[in-house]
Amino acid sequence: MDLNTALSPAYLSSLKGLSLKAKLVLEGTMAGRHLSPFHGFSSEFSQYKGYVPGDDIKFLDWKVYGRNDQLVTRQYRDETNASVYLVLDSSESMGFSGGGDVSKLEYAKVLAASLAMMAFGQRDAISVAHGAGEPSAFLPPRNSAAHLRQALQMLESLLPAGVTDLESLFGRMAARLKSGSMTFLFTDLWQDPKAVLTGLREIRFKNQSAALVQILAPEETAFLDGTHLELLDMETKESVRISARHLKPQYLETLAAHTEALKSECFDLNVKFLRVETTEPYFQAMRRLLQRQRS
Amino acid sequence: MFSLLSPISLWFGAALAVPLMIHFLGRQRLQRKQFPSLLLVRERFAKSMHRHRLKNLLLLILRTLLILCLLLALANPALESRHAADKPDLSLALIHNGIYGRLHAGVPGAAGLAAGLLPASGAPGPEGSDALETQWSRLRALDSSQGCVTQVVPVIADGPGPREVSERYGDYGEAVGRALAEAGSRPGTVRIQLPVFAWSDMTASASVLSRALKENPGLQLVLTDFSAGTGKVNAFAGLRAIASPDAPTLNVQARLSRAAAAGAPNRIRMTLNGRPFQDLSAAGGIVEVTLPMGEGPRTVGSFSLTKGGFAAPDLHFCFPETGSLLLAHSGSALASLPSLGRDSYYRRIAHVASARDIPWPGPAPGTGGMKPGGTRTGSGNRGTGGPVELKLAYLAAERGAQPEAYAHAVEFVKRGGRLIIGVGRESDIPSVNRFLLQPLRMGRLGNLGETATGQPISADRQALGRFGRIPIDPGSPGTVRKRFAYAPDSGAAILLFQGSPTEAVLAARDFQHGKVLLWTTDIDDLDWTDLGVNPLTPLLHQAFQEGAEGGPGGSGNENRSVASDSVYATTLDAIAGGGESDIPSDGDKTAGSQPAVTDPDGRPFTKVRRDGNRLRIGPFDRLGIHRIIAGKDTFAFAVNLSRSESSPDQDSGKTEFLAACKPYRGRVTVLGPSDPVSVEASVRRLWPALILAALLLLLLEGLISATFSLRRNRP
Repeated sequence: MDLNTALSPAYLSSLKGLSLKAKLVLEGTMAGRHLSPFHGFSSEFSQYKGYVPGDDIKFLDWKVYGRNDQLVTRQYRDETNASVYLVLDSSESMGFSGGGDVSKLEYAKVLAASLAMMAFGQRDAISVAHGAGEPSAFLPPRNSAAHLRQALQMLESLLPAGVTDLESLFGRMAARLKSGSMTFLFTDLWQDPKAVLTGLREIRFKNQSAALVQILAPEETAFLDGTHLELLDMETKESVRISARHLKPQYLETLAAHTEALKSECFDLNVKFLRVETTEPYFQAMRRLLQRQRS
Repeated sequence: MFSLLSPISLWFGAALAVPLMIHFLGRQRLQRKQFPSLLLVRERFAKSMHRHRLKNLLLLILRTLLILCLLLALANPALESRHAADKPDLSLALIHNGIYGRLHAGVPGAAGLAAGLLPASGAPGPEGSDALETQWSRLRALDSSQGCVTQVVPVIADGPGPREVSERYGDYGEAVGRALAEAGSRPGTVRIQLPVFAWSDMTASASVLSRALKENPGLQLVLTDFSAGTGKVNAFAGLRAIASPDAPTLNVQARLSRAAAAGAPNRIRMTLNGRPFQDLSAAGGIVEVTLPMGEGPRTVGSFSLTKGGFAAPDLHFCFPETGSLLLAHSGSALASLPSLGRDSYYRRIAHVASARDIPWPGPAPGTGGMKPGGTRTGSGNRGTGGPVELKLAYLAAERGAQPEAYAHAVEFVKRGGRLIIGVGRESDIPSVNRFLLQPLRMGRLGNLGETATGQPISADRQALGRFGRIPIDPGSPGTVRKRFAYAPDSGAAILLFQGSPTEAVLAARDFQHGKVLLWTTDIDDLDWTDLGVNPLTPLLHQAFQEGAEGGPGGSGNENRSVASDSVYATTLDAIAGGGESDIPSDGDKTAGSQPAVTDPDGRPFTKVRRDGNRLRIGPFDRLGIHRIIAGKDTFAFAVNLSRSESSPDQDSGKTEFLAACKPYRGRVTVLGPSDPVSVEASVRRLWPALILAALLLLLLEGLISATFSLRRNRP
């Protein structure tokens, strides 16, 4: 069984235990990779810096001084523990699995758990929050094994409910964020981009980095087939009769424009944007996420 | 009037359900599906969905209309056009067919009489004109005794008439033109429709009439015909024939002068035999009077405007003798038209356009005479139920006829007409079945076959009794040698049959307001029966006179006697009737005798054989109407319209005749019983327009699809 199959959503959905899934994903993600995505969490050398009075002399590179007779200090990528906030949109729409083996929320939960375990391994504090509008649950950032278990339990018991209100969710979460933290936002972004960006700006201004992960099911990205459909909104229960076959091109165009608008705004806000589909293997999504995070 | 010529095609109307089913079944297959958010669908695609629904609705309508158009085109709709008859520039129409002359012994041809009635040009007449003058004097005296001063304008003459007229007047057309100009110069417009019984010499008639038309540009001829001469009339006109259900009445339409029209009310008082007959009102300056032609001999009538102003303040008409009409105004008659005595006419000819006394029950009890307003309600003759119209569809030469003709006949029956159908071996039986018999629910005709030799014809007396007031005849109507196979509809009644009751010879049925009578015999075959006259007159006569009227002798005429080889046999007693007989005996057949039986050209029959009290007349092998005249009355008709029996020179003359009439197409209106040719000319078919509409709808559908597709694909 290759990695794609072993860590595919279809296979992992048959396993029990989010921690197990997360471990598997994490192992798959880190297979052949040794770079930590988080600055400051490793002792990886970053650069030399001329010594100035006041610098900690323990970072002086004596070997360089011996060779070149210059005082330089070694700088590492990060030296301090960070807080990793995992925010999940748990609205009704996240329970949609159309065309895929797992729902968008399930997919987000695995990604979040994997990130949590990775952060724990790097001694970062983990915080988990979820909700459709107001955060229905919030786990403050801590770095302990018990806290990790608690976070995984929270994620495991998470069920979709409520109507999406990302402006409110992000806004409330922004108030709880500590500066210098990292925030991962998992949502399907089914809301007016303006409202999304309003909340996103608040998060962006509170901490250093944020990543927005848009999770979509296959039927959302490729739309439906058929000529006579009555679509029922999972959140508002509103229905509309359409001919999917005729509307598909327009839908895809609009979806692309919607995504592009968010992407563009995220770029302006220096927020990492990633769109994943629930059929994509977790480790690939993780790699892309971490890759982008590093970049 | 709108009608469908192939209504059976409407069964394909089920095809209309196809687009509807597709549309509505498609709507039923609606699938419900949950979707995380309608954010994009709701906002961006609401208009698109509206357009989609609109497009579907438009396409549904267009496709339904498209199929409807095709269905209607298959049904072959037709619109009867009467615009030619309604032309307001009609000024005058005068027709004289010259038969009048045959009623009087010693007159060498009807045209001669007509020529004698022409206003003389002053030139001395050539040799032979004395006889005409004599006859003219006799007629003038006759008319004077009836209070009429006669001036006759013969427009059409037959036989040797044109030649004699030419000899006397030099240029016959000029004489006609003068007469027409005189009549046409009067203020106002006069339109008179006069029936034409027969034109024997169509070539001569064509030249005369054509010249008259050329010299009178404003002239429009209205030819009314209600006899078997219809074919000739139509042949002349080229052209157009419109059924005249009122024949043999005389319809007079007069347009009042402005002064008269301005005065209100414009009352016209009409008298008949000196008694007030009816009062009429002028509507829009036009009055229409239906004169009861043949009301009786010595009938004198007149009508006039009480306030004057009409071109003819007093218009008189009279019937100097049974079968002729004089019409006069301002002291001079416009025309003289011989008619037939009604009694003999009705009894002996069934194939007239409007025979009111065919022994079928009419729609209303007969009251006799006319009601005020000119509506004929019944003649009371023979005590029949009321006015009955009868039309004959002579289908022996109908091959190539348009379906409109049949549709016209079907429509005629629907509206209360009586239709007699006869077919011959040359008939297009599939067309007859499809367009005539099946729409009338008469069943189907099959192949022609010979019947058992000598098997007599029997009558279903019960059916005959139900079908009309037909007395029971103990005798047999005769025998039939050839008969078409016939599968009657369930509603058809077999009146006459040969052998078993399933071997129908004569079938009938009521259809809507009318009645249909169908002969299954071959009317083209002279030998089909022992009544050897072609084609229908004797048959119908036989049917009504002998099969229904109580047999030979019941009406005093021996019409049942038959002979082979196209010879009509009767008895002198029957033919003599109340008048003297000019029929010669065998020994008397010498030069100088005056036979009273003439062929269509006015010539005596070559085979008039007298055998004691029996008389054998024939052959009837010339194209046209043969008249058997007893005394001054017409005893019987024999009609030969078969083209195959016409002589080559007649066909040639007919061709020339038609060619000569071609420039006047549209200016000549023939009123007479419709036949396939005539009806075809008066019907406007609508299927090309429907096909065009279907194509336009198809184009429109494509445009709509393309438009919506472009909008959909537009970024």
